[in-house]
Amino acid sequence: MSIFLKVKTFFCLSLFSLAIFNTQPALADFTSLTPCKDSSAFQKRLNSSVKKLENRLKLYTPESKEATFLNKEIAATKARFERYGNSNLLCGKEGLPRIIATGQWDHANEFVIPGILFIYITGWIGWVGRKYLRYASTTENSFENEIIINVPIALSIMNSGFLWPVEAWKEFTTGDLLELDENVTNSPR
Amino acid sequence: MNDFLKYLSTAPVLIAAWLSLTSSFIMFINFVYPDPLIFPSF
Repeated sequence: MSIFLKVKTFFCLSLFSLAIFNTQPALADFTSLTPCKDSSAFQKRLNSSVKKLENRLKLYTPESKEATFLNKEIAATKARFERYGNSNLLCGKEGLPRIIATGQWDHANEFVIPGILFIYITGWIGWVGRKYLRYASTTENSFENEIIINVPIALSIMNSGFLWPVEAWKEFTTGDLLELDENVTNSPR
Repeated sequence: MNDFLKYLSTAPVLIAAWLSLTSSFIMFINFVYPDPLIFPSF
């Protein structure tokens, strides 16, 4: 292992651990935000949204399709405002809910958990794609296997991808994840 | 039949089928559980 690769590995590792373990909350105080259920602007928004739908409702006879649809919309609007109000969400002065992305635990379901889920799912997709390409490169005509997918093998690879963080870590520690610099082609500079 | 299966296995056809499945799944989730602004705490 060259010294350069060692430095690079160390840099990657420290960046990775920084992202994982740097959970010190920013501890911002949200003095300009109020809980949505106490916010008068939030209530005003609910009332004006319902009012708008009710004004449209007046244009139709009660048994028409449009009236049924609008009644459903009114119920959905009320349910939405109730759900946002009952959750931990904070509202700005204009009455719109704000997502707190500082990483603190009491607001984790607004950004941290969906963010981790996003990274997990995109990682899953990328990981199984890489795994399939690596499988295809071992077969006899690898280009054809990239255009005409071998569905049974692709499916089994897709289903086995849920452990991708473990597998990626394992490949990283054994040196299989990153390609050596001398194997990466460069255009002349 | 084999040729037809091969046609179904080509990348453009597969991605069309797969993305249709995924988008219908997401539409279904949004139909059952509308307006998900935050991750629900059960």
